[in-house]
Amino acid sequence: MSLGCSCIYFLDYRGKVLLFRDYRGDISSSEINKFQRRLLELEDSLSKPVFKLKDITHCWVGKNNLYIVALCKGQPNVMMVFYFLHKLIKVFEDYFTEFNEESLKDNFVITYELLDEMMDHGYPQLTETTVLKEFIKSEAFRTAGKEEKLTDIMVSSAVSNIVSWRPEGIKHKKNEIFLDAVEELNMLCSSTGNVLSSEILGSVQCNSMLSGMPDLKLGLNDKQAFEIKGKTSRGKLIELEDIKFHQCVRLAQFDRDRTISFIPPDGKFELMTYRLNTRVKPLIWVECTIESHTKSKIEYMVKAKAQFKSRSIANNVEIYVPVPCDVDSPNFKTNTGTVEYLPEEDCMHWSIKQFAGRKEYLMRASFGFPSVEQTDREKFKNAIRVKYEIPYFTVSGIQVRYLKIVDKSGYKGLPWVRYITKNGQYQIRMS
Amino acid sequence: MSINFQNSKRGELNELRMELLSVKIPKKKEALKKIIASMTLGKDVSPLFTDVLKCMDTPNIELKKLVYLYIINYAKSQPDLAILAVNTFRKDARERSNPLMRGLAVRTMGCIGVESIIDYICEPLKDALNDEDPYVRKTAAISIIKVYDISAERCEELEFVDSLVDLLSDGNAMVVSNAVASLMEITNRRGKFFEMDGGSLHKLLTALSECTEWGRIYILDFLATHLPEDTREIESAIQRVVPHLSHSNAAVVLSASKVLIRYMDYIEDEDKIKSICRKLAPPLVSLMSSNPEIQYIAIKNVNLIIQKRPDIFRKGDEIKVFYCNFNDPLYVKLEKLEIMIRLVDLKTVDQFLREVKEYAQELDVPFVRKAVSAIGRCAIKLDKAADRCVQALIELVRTKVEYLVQESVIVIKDVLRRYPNRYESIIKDFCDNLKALNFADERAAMIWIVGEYADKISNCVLLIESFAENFKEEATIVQHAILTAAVKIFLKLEDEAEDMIADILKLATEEAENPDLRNRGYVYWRMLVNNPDMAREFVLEEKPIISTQSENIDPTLLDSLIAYLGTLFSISLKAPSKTVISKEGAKERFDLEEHEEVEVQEEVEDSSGVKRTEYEGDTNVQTFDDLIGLGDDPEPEVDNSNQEKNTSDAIDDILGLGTSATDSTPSQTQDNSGLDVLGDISSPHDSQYCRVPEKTLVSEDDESKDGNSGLEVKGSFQRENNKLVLELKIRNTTQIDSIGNFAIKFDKNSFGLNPAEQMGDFSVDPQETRKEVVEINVNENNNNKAPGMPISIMCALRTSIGVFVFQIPVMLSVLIVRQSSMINVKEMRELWKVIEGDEEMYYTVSNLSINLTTPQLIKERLLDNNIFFMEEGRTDGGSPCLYFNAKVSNNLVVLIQITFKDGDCTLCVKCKASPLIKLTQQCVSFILSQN
Repeated sequence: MSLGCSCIYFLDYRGKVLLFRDYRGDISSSEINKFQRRLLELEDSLSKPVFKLKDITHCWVGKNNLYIVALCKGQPNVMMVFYFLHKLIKVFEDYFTEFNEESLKDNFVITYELLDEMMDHGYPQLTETTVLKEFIKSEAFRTAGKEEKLTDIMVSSAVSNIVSWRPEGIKHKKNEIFLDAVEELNMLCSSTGNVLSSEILGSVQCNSMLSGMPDLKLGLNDKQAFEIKGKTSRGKLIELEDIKFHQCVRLAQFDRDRTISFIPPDGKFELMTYRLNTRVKPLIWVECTIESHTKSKIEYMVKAKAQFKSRSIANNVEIYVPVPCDVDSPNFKTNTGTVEYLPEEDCMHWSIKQFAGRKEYLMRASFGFPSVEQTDREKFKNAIRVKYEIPYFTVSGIQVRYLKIVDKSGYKGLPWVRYITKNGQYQIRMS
Repeated sequence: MSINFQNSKRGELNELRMELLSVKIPKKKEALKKIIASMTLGKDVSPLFTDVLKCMDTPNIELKKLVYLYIINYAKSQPDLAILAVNTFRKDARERSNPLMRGLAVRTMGCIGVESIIDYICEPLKDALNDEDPYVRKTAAISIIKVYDISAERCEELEFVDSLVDLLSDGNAMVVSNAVASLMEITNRRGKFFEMDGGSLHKLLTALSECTEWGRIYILDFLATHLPEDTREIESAIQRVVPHLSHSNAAVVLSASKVLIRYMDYIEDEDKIKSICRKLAPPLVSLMSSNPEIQYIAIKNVNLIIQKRPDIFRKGDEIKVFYCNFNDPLYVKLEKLEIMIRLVDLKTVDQFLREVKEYAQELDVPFVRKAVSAIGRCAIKLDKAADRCVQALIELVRTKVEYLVQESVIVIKDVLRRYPNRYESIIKDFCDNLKALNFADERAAMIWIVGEYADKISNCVLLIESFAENFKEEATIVQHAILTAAVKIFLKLEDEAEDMIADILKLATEEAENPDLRNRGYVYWRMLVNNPDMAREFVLEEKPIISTQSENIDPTLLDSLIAYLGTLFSISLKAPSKTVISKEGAKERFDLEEHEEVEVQEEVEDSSGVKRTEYEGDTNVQTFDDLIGLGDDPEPEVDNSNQEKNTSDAIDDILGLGTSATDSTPSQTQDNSGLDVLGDISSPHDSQYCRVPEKTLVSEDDESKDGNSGLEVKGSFQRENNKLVLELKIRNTTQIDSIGNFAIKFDKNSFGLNPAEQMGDFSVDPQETRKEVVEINVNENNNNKAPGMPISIMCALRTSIGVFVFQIPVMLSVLIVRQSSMINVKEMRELWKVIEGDEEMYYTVSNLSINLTTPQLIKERLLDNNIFFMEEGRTDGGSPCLYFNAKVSNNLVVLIQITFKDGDCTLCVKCKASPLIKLTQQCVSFILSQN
């Protein structure tokens, strides 16, 4: 019994209604006031993303100081509702480049049109930006273009196609497609250096600039694919755990023989994501020791070490080390990078532009305490966070072996591939 | 765009009106945009309605869209105005050159929710359903729900519902999926009417791999509620659904898991099941790396899935995935902890403890509390790791951080109860921290500990006295705890505590305002004065062991929740309501949602988020509690609403006497009120007696209390030769050891079922199965509580590899006795009239057996199941109906009316004891559904 939602509200950070669309008309407009009240009374973190008041379910998502609230009656498929809300944000970002109060106010007509087209009677319909752009033009386009006649705007052919994500007749001068294999490393370490949990979340991001209706086949160094086809490989094969695909990929075919074949949407999209549960050691290891801790002063020694091969380089390394909330007069000493104190986040921020593999850097910091002691200082507990990017390198060793592009017109498309590793949820607990 | 309406409103409206009248389209558009802007700001621009309508007749699609947006907004609030637009809508819906226009018109028209419009809509809608363009057809498919909402009758008359079924064969997948969505929603309103056959299944599966991500959700959700009949079809469906676990849309993944888990129940091949389970785990795990909201729903659902299929996470390291990051939102952290407790086993317990101790040092108090209680729950769950868990708790108490101590006390109480005489040494640590106990829960827990271990705590009298200092201000739960603890201490120490007990009893009976507390005080008082030995027997009785099983959801509820994974049910853990409707509702259009309103009235969960192991509140364990012995249950003991007169026991007697405040000695005899133990035994004749299908009670992997597994038990209650028996199939799944030394015991239950004899002396060799039939006595060990729905009996099976505790579901049909003294027709008529109102419910038998074609056959079938035919009659509406009666083993009479109308078979059950009504419905519809 998947019932969709009855209405969708956009609220500002104080809970004032900016815009709403009522799909079913079975919920009174005063219901949203209850949400506002809860919003003002409770702290954000206390309430849950879904709650029920009498017979009405509230599902909400917060983004850039805006709240998007879906009200539902009956028994909605809440997973669907939330996924839709996030999709909604994504489409708005595609249309308005940013999703915030300003952009919403500036584009409310398009917003209404999108809301009308993306959901009908509470059921999500078309949500692919490329397809929507076919018949809902953005404001910039409208003012630039001429006055349209009735016949000028038609439903995208994509709607009637089996390929609902790609309209026909796309033309590009150069036929190119860019693939970025991006891996994020989620890691949770104890203070002693034990890896408590680690996983690699990989994705292949595409930017397709191909004409016509090209049919693509992607070959990866996927162990299972080689096994199924009975081939062997000289290079390293990897075991991808749990691959998820963009809707354009033919899932049944993948299930049969692990072939990734698809007709890509135009422009940017996420082709696939995968997960690897292998144990990885932390790429950048940060150790923080408190050298002295008195009533008036605290001194830290922070050591950062890059534990990857020396030919790779990590860019934009940022290390956040938490400090007690009432420190003052910060003093930092390091010969690499810059350090600053971020009082609003209660941490110090050490940024290193380039961090070569196998290198190790040191930083010393000292803070003073005010004479009036805070009682709960001892209780503070937090984790060190690290951000970084390592280009031309993937932890899993994933490789694109080939990308075949076949189109009726017979052009030769050019594939480009890049690899990059980033931090995900990367936390090291402090002792 | 600047929107400024500060100056005189009327002038502004006029200005806009002028602009709307302009011939230039851009100017009109500007004006409309301004109007919509002020509409957004909540200003009333409805006076411009007619002027806006004039702009609607334009070839400019942009302008038209703006007008539509305006109309949608006012369609609901001012439908009479909206009707004015109907003609233009009809014209647009016929606009041949542009399908977008036609779709838009059909979609917007449906938003005008007034009945008078329906005749205008229907014709364009019919055309739209057969439109050449799929965009129009997919829009029309959804519009049918809108029409159905306005007038269900008209919708049926015009056969729109049938055309939805036709749309399932449409060539375009999006049309199919939208038709499925409509179909499902209409099914919700009027009950199931669409039967899945091989052909339609095939169509849906084809559409499944072609349609948009949302369409896939509709189709998958539909498949989850409409099971194919044939197992071969189920298998082919599974094959087509499995690839969807790789979809990037989390809702598609969850709906696909739902279908698989539902369908798996119908597969017998163990290997196939294992391979599906293996495929399910990774996608569920990776939902953990999505947005927090999606994570939250995913975790809630994973919690249900692993209760249903514990094999899914068998690799052992999955628990790590649920470790909390410090910047996870609180609601995610709390749910992650729940899963961690569920997954922890002896292999992972050390890491688990290390992790949870880490959490106990965080700042978020609700999270910390939950982490502490997780340690205790782990101790209760894993016997062999209990030492380590208790050690961890002591470490926390020694930190003397207030909330750590508070929560530790609450959990340690349960741990002490779980392992009596094992951890007495730690009580001292707790007694050192009494000052920290600021809240009622932990005070009550501490007082319980003091009372329970009075002989180990030297200053217990003093402690209780100091707890009782502010007796009147304390919460009820604390008052109850003090009273019971005082009685326990007195019984143990006698003279030493004489003054104290006198004070406390006085406080409880004279000062307290709570009537339950006063009653309880009197009961104790009287017992202590008149029969201290009996008091000792009751109060100091050995308590049954608690288990973590209480945290599991009842299997029947679980199954129904599984069908609704991803929906609100899975979050609120409320059972989907049956299509039970009241008499009034039956005459009108019946509305499922209306019914749900009644059922789920509170919020999804309380916002505090701290859920404890509520042994007292949980129905599964409630049966274990000896109310007086435990002494901290604030509920009134006497359930007034559903008292069944024939059943009572000693506790009740005392209560009854206590409240009447006479001086008589409480009677010690258990009054079984001379009930026939098994009803009347008559000649064996069970030609069409419906056997209850057997259930798996203990599965191969279930562990006994000692942590052993290797026993599989299947079985159910049956009625054989008018005797109640428990049939068990016991299989030894181990490789080497034979299992023996069997004994069975039931917990107290509402029908007083108890084994009449112990099982014979036998043992089961490895890989062998043995059938055992245990005779059951009725009304022996009765807890005097109204039965819940469904009834199940908590049962403990002792074996040579440990004690297994499980629940056996009971179908009411086995409790219906072959009556000796039938009430006559006249009595029945009177009784039928007397019972009115709440105690009567209507219920449609959805799956009537095809063999039961005539009323005569139904009569025979029911007679074979001890349900006696009384007379034929007619309902108020004039439909023919049959009246039956039956007698349940505790002498309650149930009246049943079966009505036939338009091929439907409706049940109405009347009984003085309302809990029996649902049970009877369930039982009769079970009997009538058997072929």
